[in-house]
This record gives sequence, structure tokens and C-alpha cells, in this order.
Amino acid sequence: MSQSQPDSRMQVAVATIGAALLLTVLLLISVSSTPYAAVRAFFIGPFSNRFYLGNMLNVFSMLSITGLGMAVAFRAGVFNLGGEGQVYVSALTATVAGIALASLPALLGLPIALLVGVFTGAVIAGLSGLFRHLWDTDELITSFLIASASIPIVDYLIVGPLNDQASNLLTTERVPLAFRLPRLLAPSQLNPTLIIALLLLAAAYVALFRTVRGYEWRLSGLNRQFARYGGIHTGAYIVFPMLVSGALHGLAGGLFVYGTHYATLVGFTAGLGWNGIAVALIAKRHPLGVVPAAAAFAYLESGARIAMLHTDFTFELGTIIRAVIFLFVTASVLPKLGISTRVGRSIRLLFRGGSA
Amino acid sequence: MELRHITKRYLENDVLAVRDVSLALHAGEIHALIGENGAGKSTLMKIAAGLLPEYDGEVKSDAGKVCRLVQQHPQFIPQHQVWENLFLGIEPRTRWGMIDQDAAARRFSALAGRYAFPVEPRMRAERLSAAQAQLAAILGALLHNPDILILDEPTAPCSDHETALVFGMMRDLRNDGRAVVLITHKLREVMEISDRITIMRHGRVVRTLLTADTNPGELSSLMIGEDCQRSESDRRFSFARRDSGTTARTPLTDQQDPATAAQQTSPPPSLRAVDPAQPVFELLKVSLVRRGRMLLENLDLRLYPGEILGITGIRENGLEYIEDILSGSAEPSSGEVRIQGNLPTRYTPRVFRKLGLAYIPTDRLMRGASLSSTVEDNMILLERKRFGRGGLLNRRASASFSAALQQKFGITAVLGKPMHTLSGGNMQKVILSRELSQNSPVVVFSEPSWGLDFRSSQRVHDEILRLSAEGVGIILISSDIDEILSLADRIVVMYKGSFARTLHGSDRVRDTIGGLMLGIESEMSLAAPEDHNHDSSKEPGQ
Repeated sequence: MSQSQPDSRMQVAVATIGAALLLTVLLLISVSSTPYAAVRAFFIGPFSNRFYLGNMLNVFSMLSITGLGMAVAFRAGVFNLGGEGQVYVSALTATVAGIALASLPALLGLPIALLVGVFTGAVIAGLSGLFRHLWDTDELITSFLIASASIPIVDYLIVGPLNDQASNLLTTERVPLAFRLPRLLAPSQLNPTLIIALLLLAAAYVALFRTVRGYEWRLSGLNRQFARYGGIHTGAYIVFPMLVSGALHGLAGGLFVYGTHYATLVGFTAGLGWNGIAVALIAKRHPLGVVPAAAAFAYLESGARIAMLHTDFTFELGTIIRAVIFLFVTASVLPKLGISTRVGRSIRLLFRGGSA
Repeated sequence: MELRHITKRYLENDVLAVRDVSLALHAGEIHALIGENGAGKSTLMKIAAGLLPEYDGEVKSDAGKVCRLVQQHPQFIPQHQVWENLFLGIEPRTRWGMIDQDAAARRFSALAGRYAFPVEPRMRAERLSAAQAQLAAILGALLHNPDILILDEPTAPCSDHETALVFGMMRDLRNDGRAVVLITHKLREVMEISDRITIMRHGRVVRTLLTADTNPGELSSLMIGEDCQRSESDRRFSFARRDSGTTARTPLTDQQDPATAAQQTSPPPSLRAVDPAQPVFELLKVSLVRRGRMLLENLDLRLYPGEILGITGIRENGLEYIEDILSGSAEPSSGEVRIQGNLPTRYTPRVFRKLGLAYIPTDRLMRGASLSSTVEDNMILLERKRFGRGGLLNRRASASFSAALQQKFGITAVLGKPMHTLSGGNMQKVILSRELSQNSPVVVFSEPSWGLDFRSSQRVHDEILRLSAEGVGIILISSDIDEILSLADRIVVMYKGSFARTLHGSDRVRDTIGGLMLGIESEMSLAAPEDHNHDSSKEPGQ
């Protein structure tokens, strides 16, 4: 309906998270043999010590960047469904670049390595935007397909040519010591990515809501026909938002390596891209909304992880909870955005192959 | 079936669509319902078919009688097959409770075969041509075995052959003792197929008569209304100034006649530094073909500074396509467009605007406005670059700009609220204020007073006259004959994608225009036989 006033949107967001939490508690109580300990670990755990708190904040920073990457694309009315793959591929290229540039001073080598990641993500996503502009292919599908196809390639490179022979893990060599970002709340994984993420959110807010380009960007997303009618180059606002979205995912990939893992491990992105979509949707595609959305998501994820360590809470339960949240979010947000039909059509095309 | 004292007011826009209408439909009869756009035909028939629940009055019909309406522009789920679309809710079942696809397809094919409609049940709906979609929708209604079948403009997308098939089906139903209602603009078809005719105008029934007792001329004048005499003398007077009789108007004709110019509400003409003999906008042999259909054919047009050129016709006869061509929203298949003598580098609104065109679109909700953006964001669309300072948007400047426009055009709105909170009249004013803030030498108005009340449309009309007096070239696309007659210096009538005739000076007569719109030559048009051009040869059988 036309009643999309801020307070009612807020209510929807709160109700969504609330419903997900309630379901989580019910699950914990019904499944766990020590329900009290499980609930306690889940909800209090993330704040119980520096380690857990720092890790939660680190998850928050990563999700903020990928969530922002999705939000900026949504704002322009384009859909980047390949975030997961973009993070993964960019992490690998940034890793390889860092190892190759090990002889450079860190102040030069680290930015270059991160830029390689940014560039990789931008190119992968930008291609989908360009295809849409040139041939009107659905960027939602092409971004998904390109990213999905690149994931097994990265898997192969990690276990094959780029494998770290010295390690038993499925991982690349580690990046040079000098390039690694310092830890802020040792022994947790928290690192300056948090600051970068917050700066990016603020910058994105200014760019989208306080500049002429941002005005054109948002207008293209709200009503492309109107934007075109007003003389806005709408083609540019398909390609460019995809580039920016991909670049942010690329940066997330690079930072994930240099701040958290110091190498690219098989499957280490573990839903960063997908959860970015959920974060962007809960945030109502608003850069500042990304903060509470990513925080809520990081909290739930950390809670699940801690409950898993301390009680008989299982990995599958954590996955279920995340799926439940995603379901609630998409159910409440997608129809409002008017993209459910588009998503539905695309999914059907994907699975039926357009058969007559 | 009988309709008694039906009145329908649309609450959304407070339009009284149907006023106290009574109508009886008889079995074994084809009843034509004719009238101009917005006369209330479709609304009345939706009420008859039970599709509009809220109305005043009474619909009386015998119990168990089925009434089906085939709407204009039938909608299908594009990815589904034809039969899936049409059997929705009445799917034949197998013994196991599954949908019996074969039975459905067989039933559909039998019905299609009976009337020789070229539609396959297993075709995907998106592959249907417009005419096939229409035929399929009719078959869908027939599947319900209706006692009363209402067809809303069924032949609009049809060629002569398909029209003949539809008529064959209608006769078959009539001979079977059923009632058929045909809503149409096309008088030729009415004369050919119907038994009785009801004419509607402004939501009322003007008259119901037997087809055998009437002729196209009488129908045309009944449709358009004798009340055109009402203010004809006023109009004549106010247009003495504009009746130059030639295509090119010179500033002299304006100044020669200061007395009548003073009668105008608009200020005296103050032409800018434009050469009045140079056209500001031209179409040269423009055609538009889509999917093999000729939508616009060989259009030539010249617009001079200070001139109001009216383009009228029935909307389905190409008005929406010419709007797209004139505004740069569509690229012509052949021919060229010139704005102030310049060829556009590309056919996009962006380029057209740069060359000096402003454009008030028919579709205000999608094209003319961004409903979820603020009023202010809607106003600054064309001036956005001006408010950029080092890339940042100067909100203070944009706010004072919008406030000035709001004041100038008397817009009742809160600038920071979303556009969708505005009434239709205020929304149109926002669009006008934005487009006219550019001082463009050419302005295209398309259906500028659609959905506006009398006062609002009066304001729009005043604005058009004021612009014209300032030397702005104006193209006014409108299917409202009154609007065209009261504003335009020259009137071009479109019929089937071509310009049927250009009328100026004393030729601008209501009946002539009405006749040309409907593709018939009324007696009135014989008054100007020298104007007959080749297009009239396109109308055989009249």
C-alpha cells in the first residue's frame, strides 16, 4: 500500500526480527536438553567476553559492507544476486596480489592488493550491468550465474595450483605478515574493517542523499520511466550501480582476507554475500539502516555460534534460524518492493530453463 | 436483463461516470453501445456484468442467467498456456481429481473451430498477437455459456478478416436467442452488425434507437452532442485572433488585431527572438512499425512559433504512439524529427529536451511523476544540475526554487511529502510547473486535462494560451474535441495511424472532426471538398 511511513516500516522491521527471535527461543527450548543454558548462551554469549564481542563486531563490519553493496544496487533498482561469488573471487585475487607484491612496503602493497579485490568484484558485477544495458538480459540472473560459476573455479584454484603445501587445510598460502591488519580487541578477530565499514556507510549516505548523482541514482531506482523522461541517462544507472555494488563486495573479500583470515580458505565466505541481501532488505535499502540490520544479524549469528560451542545446540539449528530470519525478511519486504514477481519469474526461469 | 437508474461515482477521483441510466437488453438481439471516451459505456457494462460492486440503482436479471464481459485489452498470465488462462476456476477434472488438460484443450478447440478463430489452446499466452488475444478472451467468455455476452471494443486490434469472424460469432449467438452487447467507437461496424443502438454521452443515455431507422451522420452528431452550439459563438469570438487560415502565422497577424487580443485573458503577444517563419518542430515522413504492424504511417507536420497545433483522434488510432514520437520516447522506423531545425543525435527524451522540448505526458503517474519521491524531488528534476555545487545537492536552493514554483502555480501541497499524497489536479500542476520552468520553445501537451475538474483544466488551458502568446510552439494531443476546438489554431485528425486531414480556420467544425475521428465522412465535411486527400480512399464501403 501507499502507507509506507517510516514508523510503520520500522514496525515491520522490529516485528520481523522479533518473530525470528521468538521462533529461535521456541526451537531452543523444544530441541535442547539444556534449554536454559542454550538460551543463555545464545542471547548473553556474544557479550560475555572480549573474544565473543570482538568477533561479533567483526561479523558486523563484514555484513555492513556486503549489505551496503546490496543496498546501493537496490536503490538504483538493479539486483546483484552474485555477491557471494564476488566476495569469494575477490578474496582470492587480493590474496594472490598480496603474496606477489610481498616485497613492497605494506603501505603500498596492502592498498594495491585491496584494490585488486575491489576491481575484481566490480568487473564481475559490472559485466551483468553492461549485459543488461546492451542486450536487456536480466542482471539478476546473469550476476547469479556468473558468480555461481566462478565459485567452483576458486575452489579448484585453492585446492589445486594455489594450495598451501605447508598446511593441511584447504587454503592458499597466507598473506605477508606486514600486510595484515592489526587486531583491535585481541584475541578476537576485530580489526580496522569496522572503521572502514562505518566510514563507507556514512559516505554512501551522503552520496545517495546529498548529491546530484545520488538524486539521479535514487530516481532511476524509484521510477526508471520517469528518470528517462527527465533526461537522466538511465543506462548509466544500470551499469554504474552494479560496478559499485561489485566493488563493495570485492572490498569485503579483500578485507576478509587481510583483516580476519590472512588467506583464502575454501568456502570461507559462508554466506557473507547472501546475508548481505537480507541485511539490505531489513535496512530498507538505506545506508544508515544497514547499521541496526547488520548488528541484529551479527548478533543472531554469533549467538548461534556460541550456543553451538557451549551446549548441544547444533550447526543445523543455527542454519535453520538464519533461514527463518531470511524467510521472514523476504516475506515482509519483497512484496513491498514490488520485486517478488520479478524474483519469482527469474527463479522459475532458472529452474525450468524457460521450457514451453 | 434490465438496468434501472444506475448511478456510479468513482470514489478515488470523485468522477460521476454513470448518471441515472436505465437500459434493457433483450434476448436474440445485438445491442450496440456507443459514445465518446469517458461517456460511461465501459463502467455501465462492468456494473451489468457484476464487476463493480458499489453503485446506486438496480440490475434485474432472471435467476441463473450468465452474463460475461470481455474487457478491452484482455489480460493473460503470459507464461501460461491459453487454456490454462481461460479455464481458471472451471477446470475439467479427471477421475482422480487432477486437471484434465486434454478435455480442456478439446473443448477449447471445438469452440474455436466452430467460429474459425485461429487460436491454439496450448499456445503460451505471451505468443498471442493482440488480435488473437482478443479472440481467445472472447472464447474464454463463451466457455461459460453466457446468456448475455458483452464485448468492449472487441475489434480494436482486429483486421477486417478477424472482425468478420467476431461478427459471425455474434450473429450465431443472436440466432441462438442470446443477448450480445457491443461497445465500440466504430460506426461502420455498428451499422453493419447491430439491431439496436444506445448512445451515451457524459454518463447519460442520449437515445436508444433501431439501427434500421438511423444513419452514421445522425449517430455521430448524437454521440458528440448537439450542445456544441452552447458556447460556439464565444469560441468563434475568442478565436478570431487565431484564425489566420494559413499554416504559418506571422507576428503581424497577431498585432493587427489588438482589439480581439485584448479580449484574451492572456497578456498581449510578446514574441521572443525567434523567426516566426521557421518551424520549431517538424515531422518528416515519420512512420512507426512494431512487430510488423504499421502504427504510424508517413506523418508530416510543421509547428511554428506561437502556434497551437491540435492532434486529435480516438486514442487507439495512434495518439499514444505519436506522443512517444513527439517526446523522443520512441524512435521512428523511418523518417525524421527536427527540433528547431536540428536533427536529434539519438531518439531519447534526454536529447529532445536538450534541443528545446518540454513535455507533459498522458501518463502522469508513471512517466510524469515519481510517486514515492517528494514533491520537491519531482519539481527539481530538470533543474537538478543547477543545484549541484561540487557534486553536492544544494538543498536550500532547491527548496526555494520549489517554493517559488509552488507559489506561482498555486499548488496545494507539502513539498517534503511524497508525490502520491497530492490530488490529481495538484499533481498535474507540479508537472506543469516543472516543464514550464524551462522556458522551452516547444511544449508537447498530451491529454493535459484528463481527470481534472473544470477549474483545474481551465487553468491548464489558460496556461497553454499564455505560452502561445509568448511565442512558444505548442502541440496539443487530445482526444477531447472540446478541448481541441477551444485551443488549437490548426487541428490534425488521426485515423488508423495517419493524419486523416488538417483543418484550420472555419473548417474546424465539430461534426467534421467527429466524422474524421470515426473514419466516416459526414455530410458536413462535404463543405470543403478540396481538402479531400488520399487518405479518404482508405475507407472502402462507406
